[in-house]
Amino acid sequence: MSTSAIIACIIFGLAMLATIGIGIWSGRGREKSLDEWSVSGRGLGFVFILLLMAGETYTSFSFLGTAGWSYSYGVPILYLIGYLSIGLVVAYLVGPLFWTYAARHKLVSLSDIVEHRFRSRGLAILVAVLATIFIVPYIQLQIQGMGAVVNAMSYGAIDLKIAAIVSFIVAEAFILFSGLRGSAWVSVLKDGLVILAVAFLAIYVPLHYFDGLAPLLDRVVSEKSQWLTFPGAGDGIYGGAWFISTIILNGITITVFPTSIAGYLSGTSANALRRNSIILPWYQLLLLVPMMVGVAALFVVPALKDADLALFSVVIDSLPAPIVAIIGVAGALSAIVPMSVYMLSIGSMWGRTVLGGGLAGPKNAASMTPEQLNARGLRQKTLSQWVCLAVGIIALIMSLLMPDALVELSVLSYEGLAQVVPAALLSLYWPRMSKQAAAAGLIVGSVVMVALHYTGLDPLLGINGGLWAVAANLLVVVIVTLAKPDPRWVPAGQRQTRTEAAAL
Amino acid sequence: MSRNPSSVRQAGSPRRRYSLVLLIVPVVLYALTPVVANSVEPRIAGLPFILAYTIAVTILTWFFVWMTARGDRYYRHDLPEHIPSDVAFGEDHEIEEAGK
Repeated sequence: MSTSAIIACIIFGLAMLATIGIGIWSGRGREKSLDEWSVSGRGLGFVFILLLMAGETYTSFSFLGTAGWSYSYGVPILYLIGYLSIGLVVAYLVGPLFWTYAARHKLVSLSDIVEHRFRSRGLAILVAVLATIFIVPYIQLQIQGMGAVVNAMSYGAIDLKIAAIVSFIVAEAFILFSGLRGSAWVSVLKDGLVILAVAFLAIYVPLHYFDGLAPLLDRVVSEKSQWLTFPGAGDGIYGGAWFISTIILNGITITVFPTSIAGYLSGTSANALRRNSIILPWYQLLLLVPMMVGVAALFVVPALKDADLALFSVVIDSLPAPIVAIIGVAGALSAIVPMSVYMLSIGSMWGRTVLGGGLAGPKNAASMTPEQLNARGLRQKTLSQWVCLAVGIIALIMSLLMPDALVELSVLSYEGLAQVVPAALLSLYWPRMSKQAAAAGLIVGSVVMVALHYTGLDPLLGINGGLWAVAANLLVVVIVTLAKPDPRWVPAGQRQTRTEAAAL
Repeated sequence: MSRNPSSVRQAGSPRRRYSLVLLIVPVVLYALTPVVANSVEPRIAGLPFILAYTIAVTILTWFFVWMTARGDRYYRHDLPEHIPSDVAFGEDHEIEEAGK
């Protein structure tokens, strides 16, 4: 092992120990309940929500995929900034909406919200299973992303598979013990390192190779102008219509991601989330740096086999070992934090909705004594933790045994979760919507989406296949709802009597 | 306080939140990127136009969401969100403080 590799390994090892330490320390002395574990007992103020949400948006994709896309295609990668910002705009309304609904009815996850709204555990299980199918590949991608980062930063000394196992152990260690609060605290370390690393790269890379940003831009304009307009370089599949449909679809969908919902539900008040939507657009500007480094890599390492390693190839080529290691740690934590929240959100959906008996009907729950409620909460929390561990193990095994099999599915993650939008979001605005409508829409939307994808028709007429599927989904929801409204819904004419009856 | 259930219930027909219209502006501006900004020229401070446009829109997103919040009485009074389904089902009761 070279000296550089030894230095990198030591820094990496210390950082991982620090991560476990911070994560576990944050959870000490806290109440041991499902509420505390899944959504920090709704106790995260504005600053922690900000750090957590920023931490969730800046994943290992930002270091690997962002630079990689920029290297391979150019400006189509701007869709990332577009949809994350639109997601924040939508979240100004939707975040507080979910927060209010969950805080009012004491809910902890996406499937809880669906179960309570429709009084249907069956529909909630359908949502939980669908969300799991589309999120496990994301966990796997983070594990593999971490493997790639750590392997590169250690100059090949740490094997891909060992790095994957380390990421799994570190993430599980603090998420099982401290829950979402652990992720929020580790985000402090992570966001700090990411901002440092990115700010440094923004200045250093152009200076080191091109004597400044302006000469770099001039070279891109004169030699690689194809990268600077839609549809970008490559086969030109990512054109304007794809960009527009994708940022809108993803921007709305990201607000129902179980991980986003975990973040919303953990806030202390509606305004903690609204403030988050005001401030976080600034954070998206950081993503321009990996994009810039990806383009710089076109000149520095022109014939890269794996475009995703564009950023780290440049970093290793130009910097001494300790700095490479620190940037690597920022990249590794960018995999660990989102991965831990993904596992936690799947854990809480399964621990309560699928395996833990659900909400047991609001009426039954209301008749339970506080002791019974506590006991039920503890049982559901234990189940959630087991599922959280099991999901991590599944993702780890898949990333070791068949690293490519599920990457395909992760491409579909947003399109798949978009099908949950009517059931989770529209239903809170539209009292008439029934569970039959939600289920039918969910199934039709998912089938259309998968069909479009596997027949090679996605994008269809240049528009993201997920958007077509959501359109089909919505159409079905509207038709079925008109035919069969929610039994609790009362037509406008009779509403007055009902309000009076409720007041009596 | 504003979390009083009766005041929330009166919000059954909520007063208009006109400032929310501003939220559509950043969405439209981002969606217009390939239409109005799909070019390298004019370069602004050396940046290709499409990048300068994206940066400007991202900063404007902050501005428009902020202006939305300033004009939104739900934000000024830190009110929980109005949920039509809760109102329709008579479940729009007060939110208990966390930990109770």
